[in-house]
Amino acid sequence: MVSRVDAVLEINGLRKTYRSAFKGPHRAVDGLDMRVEQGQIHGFLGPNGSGKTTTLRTLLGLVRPNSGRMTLLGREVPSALPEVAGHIGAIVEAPRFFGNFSGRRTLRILARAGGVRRARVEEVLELVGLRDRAGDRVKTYSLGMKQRLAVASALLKAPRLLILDEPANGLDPAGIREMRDLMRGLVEHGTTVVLSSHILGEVQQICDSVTIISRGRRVAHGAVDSVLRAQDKGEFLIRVADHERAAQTLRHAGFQITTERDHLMARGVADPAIITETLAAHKMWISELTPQRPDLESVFLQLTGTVPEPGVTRQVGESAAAFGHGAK
Amino acid sequence: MRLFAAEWSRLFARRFTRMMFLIVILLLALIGGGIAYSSHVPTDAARAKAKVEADRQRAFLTQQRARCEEAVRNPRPTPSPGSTAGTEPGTPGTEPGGPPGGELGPVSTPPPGVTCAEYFNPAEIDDASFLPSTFGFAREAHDLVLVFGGIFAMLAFAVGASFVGAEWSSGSMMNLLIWRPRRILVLLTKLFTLLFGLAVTGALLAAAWVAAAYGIARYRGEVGRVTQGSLTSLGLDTARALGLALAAAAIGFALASLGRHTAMAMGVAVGYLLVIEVGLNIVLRLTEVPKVERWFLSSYVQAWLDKKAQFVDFTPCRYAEGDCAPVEWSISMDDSAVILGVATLALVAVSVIAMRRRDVA
Repeated sequence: MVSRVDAVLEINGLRKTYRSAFKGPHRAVDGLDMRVEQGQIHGFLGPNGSGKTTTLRTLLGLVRPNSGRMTLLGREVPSALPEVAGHIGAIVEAPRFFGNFSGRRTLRILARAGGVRRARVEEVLELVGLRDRAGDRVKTYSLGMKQRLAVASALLKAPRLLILDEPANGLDPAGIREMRDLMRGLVEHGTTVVLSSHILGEVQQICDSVTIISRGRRVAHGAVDSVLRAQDKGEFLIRVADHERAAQTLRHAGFQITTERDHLMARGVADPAIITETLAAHKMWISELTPQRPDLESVFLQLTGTVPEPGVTRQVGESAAAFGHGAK
Repeated sequence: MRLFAAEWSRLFARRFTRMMFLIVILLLALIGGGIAYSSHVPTDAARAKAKVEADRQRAFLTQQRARCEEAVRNPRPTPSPGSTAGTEPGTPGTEPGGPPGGELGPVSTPPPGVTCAEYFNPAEIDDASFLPSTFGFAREAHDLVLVFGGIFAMLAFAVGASFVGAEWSSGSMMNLLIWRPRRILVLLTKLFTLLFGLAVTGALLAAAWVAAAYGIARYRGEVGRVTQGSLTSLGLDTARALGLALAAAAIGFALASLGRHTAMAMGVAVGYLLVIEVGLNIVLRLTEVPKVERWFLSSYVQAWLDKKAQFVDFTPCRYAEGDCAPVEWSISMDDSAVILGVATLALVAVSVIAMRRRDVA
């Protein structure tokens, strides 16, 4: 029996280098640290080729790390993986199943291999909305249906830790919402969810905490709000009638101002009341003063150095650091 | 046990496995049907006619043996070129078992080391050889078991390769390893399930095949003399055929597991046949390597199925002047068991080591 622990998943200094006789070594994970608390939905984010999938595979014993320490449910892995595997459900990358088996048979075989009671198969099929197509061959399934089947397979064991790699891939909007509700329901019943996704709006909505990685290293982590707050540069959008004069006035008052076509942007503003006061003192009346809070997407792009630049096609695995811009 | 149960249902739920079994059953049915169609129950008249033919043949051989012994006792000088009455050892003439005619023709003498009695042996003539195509169970069941063994070994290789190869290429293996993160246990359970499944189905198929052969002999041919000893021998033949099939399955499994794709095993099998069994065979024969058969697995397979494979090596006589006895040599069943067993175990061991060490990506 796995004891109750605060950190359901913990990684310290994980390194993995793939070696190829023809292509030379490729460092996929480079000293990664990560911690996931119990009862959370934790977003695991990073651009393509940043090492997310390698990290998940290493956790699940599919890939051998070069160095580092990992624990799942308080037990060191991969050595204790056989003992904790019964409490972990996972899908890694695209859902891949044997095409000629039906969804139900696929789950029954997995259930039999894992000692899960047969009735649980029907429960999870119902849960992921595949009940009516469970008898069809997997090769006739759409990507979204395969994704649902993958989630069903991960749920079979009623896991304490659920690791989902791009679970919304191929799902329609209703499916994405169902998946979100499903995850929330699981967390309410004590399951911890690690969610790797590129749909950052979804992650921001659903996740309690995040780890953002780039080029195999962690670049940000913590509660979603604190990560966003840390990237908040105190920007405000200002609309006034004479924005040229307003810009000049605010610059004289010490603000960093950039002029846009129909508004101003102020940066590094600690207290927006001072803007109001300064402009009012010069008989200029503000029609709009909106704080520009960063969303997860902009923070992600900034932190991982993957902000699109006109005329530059970023290659997989490259970040701005590769171009000399430096990611934080 | 849970894993075994899961793998057992996976093995027989796979369409490829079912298709292969269906193909093998159809193939065996086709062969059995062909035998039944072409075989005829010998009538008394046919038996009498066959006996007359066999007696004539035996008489001819007896006569030839006497002439041969006379020629050996009193060798004549070497005939001039173009002469047909050669008496040099091993010279061509009437071959043993040649058609008896009004004239006995020139007599040939046996090669060195073979007596005239062995060369012209009337006892080797069987009445059944002169019967109109009659399937005899006692006489031909062994050959039919060999046919079954060959066909079932091919099925076993393909099913073995596909059983693990399709798992790798479809991604099911990764799913399974996430469920049961014990790589060696997963791989060996899969292999054990495969071998156990093939042993059970193979034994059932073999029993059905032998029973069908008996049925054909009973109603469309002749059963012949079946003794406890011949049945035991047939049982051992079947066991060896199944053993060969299981080795083929394990080799296919190991190759596909190493290459993580069914095509890997199939490619290696075709490559081996073309490059080694054909290409290397030609090269070794051209370069006059002695006992060339020992370098090919097919020789050991033949020896395993037939209990012994006999070969004649002519390379010592290639440039010999005068008398030269080619070397007769053989591969025993025990030799084959060692070679095929070691090859199979080595491949399985390498696939297990690779499974333990390689990343699952």
